[in-house]
Amino acid sequence: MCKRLHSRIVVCLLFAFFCSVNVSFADEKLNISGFGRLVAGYLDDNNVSFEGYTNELTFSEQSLLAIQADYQLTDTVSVTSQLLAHNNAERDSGIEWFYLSYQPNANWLFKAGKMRTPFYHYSDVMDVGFAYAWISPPQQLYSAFLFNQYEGISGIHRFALGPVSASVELYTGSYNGDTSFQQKRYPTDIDNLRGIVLNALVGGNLKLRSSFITADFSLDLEEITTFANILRGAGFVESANSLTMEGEFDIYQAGAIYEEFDYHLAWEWMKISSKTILAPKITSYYVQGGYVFDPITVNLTFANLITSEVETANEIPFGVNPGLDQLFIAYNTTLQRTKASDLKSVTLGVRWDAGVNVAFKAEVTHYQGGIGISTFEALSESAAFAFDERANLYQIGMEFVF
Amino acid sequence: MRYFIKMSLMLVFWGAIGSSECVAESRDVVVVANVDNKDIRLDKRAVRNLFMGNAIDVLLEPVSLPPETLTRAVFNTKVIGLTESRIQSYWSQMRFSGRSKPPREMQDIDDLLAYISTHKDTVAFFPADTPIPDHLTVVYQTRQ
Repeated sequence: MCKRLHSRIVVCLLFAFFCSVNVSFADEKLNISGFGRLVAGYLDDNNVSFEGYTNELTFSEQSLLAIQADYQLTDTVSVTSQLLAHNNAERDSGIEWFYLSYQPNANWLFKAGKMRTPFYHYSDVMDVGFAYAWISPPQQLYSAFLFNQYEGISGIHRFALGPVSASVELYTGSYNGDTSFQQKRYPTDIDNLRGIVLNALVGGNLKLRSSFITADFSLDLEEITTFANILRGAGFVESANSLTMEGEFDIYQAGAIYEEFDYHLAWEWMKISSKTILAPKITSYYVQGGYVFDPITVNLTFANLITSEVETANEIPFGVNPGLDQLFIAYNTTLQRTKASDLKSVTLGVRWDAGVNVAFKAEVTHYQGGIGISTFEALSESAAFAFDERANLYQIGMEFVF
Repeated sequence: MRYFIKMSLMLVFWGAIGSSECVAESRDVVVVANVDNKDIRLDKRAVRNLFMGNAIDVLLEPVSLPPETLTRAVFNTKVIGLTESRIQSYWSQMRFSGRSKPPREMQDIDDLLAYISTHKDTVAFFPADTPIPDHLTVVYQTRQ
């Protein structure tokens, strides 16, 4: 309730600001731009929800409005702020980006402040639906369970090597906030975040991207911590330690996009690894092809998420006495509830660029996958048994930039 | 032939048919720079990189025409190799991720020529039949 009120206040402020910026446009030092999206979605299964979608039509999961202000302080220094209002109560509305840039020339760019984390090709423009083909980018990579912001510094160097135009980006920082999955929010600390992103444009048509990210993380899963303390008190230290959500994670990413005038092909792959038992160990990828019947683009995407088996502690005996049996069952249930599930999907989408700054999209995605964090969430215990691990998500949307 | 059909469709889409510019402009472009070195020549890849914000060895400020102009449609088709909608998507990604900004835009060819004539180290594209002042350098042209 409070979050919805907050979102509405931010929307009102954005509209008020937008109505008053025509004066500011006249100032060459200040540049106002923005983006928005109105998205409706419907899941054709009444047993589960997926990324907030259920079998009731909703506009509230992904619709948003944002305004970005860039102010040029000097020839080389500027400050940028992006204010964003979500219609989704699970997401924060407010300042999404706020950073200072120093660009001594076209080949060097340094930024410091609050920024989006550039995990994958579209991670830092996830909210800018106009920037990509889908309504929902493949959830197998672009899932909400990763934190999407950090506070820190980054440096980008662009350079040319023969037929290759390349860039290298280094960044470091931290994140203290919430991580959302299964419509719940968990206090999260990310420290020692370090990343490198390599981009290369080969021969004008082939874009390559590769990145590596590492960080220390700590999630406060209150209910699980309470149970872990019970296990520790009962002497099952190894089992208790396996239920902590602290440690280090590494993310590897690689991707390629080949673009011609009337078609494009794209592929992106990522792997998350961690020694923490509760942290999901995932390998995901998608392949996409699109054909342009200008101004219409038709896209077909296959995406896959594969989880790795988790090695759990096996020190709680079963069948000795009812008390231990209860601990054994509770331990395994906890592991099951925090488990990621494999997920496959095929998406057929159409994008109509109705003008230079507005596009309409429609897409249908067929998903196959079990119940798990960041995939399907059962709406009740009986629904979990009734779910056949298949569902279709229908979405239509309007994307705009200004 | 395929490009011609594509360009025709694009013009219908952007509502450019019927404009005076459409009649006056040719279906080739020249890329012109205001540089001291008159011998400088660029290939298609370098021009594309300049106008898409990618790194090349030559540091020049690209200046463009608005999306609905025929000259830009020709430039998109023959040099950039992407439709206007793909280019707009690309720039929305660059702009809202703070990586780079699209080229400055001038309203028409006269304004564009006036701007690069008076600003060193700028580069712009024009219809191939545009009279180019002597102090500017043609660095690239599409086939005529």
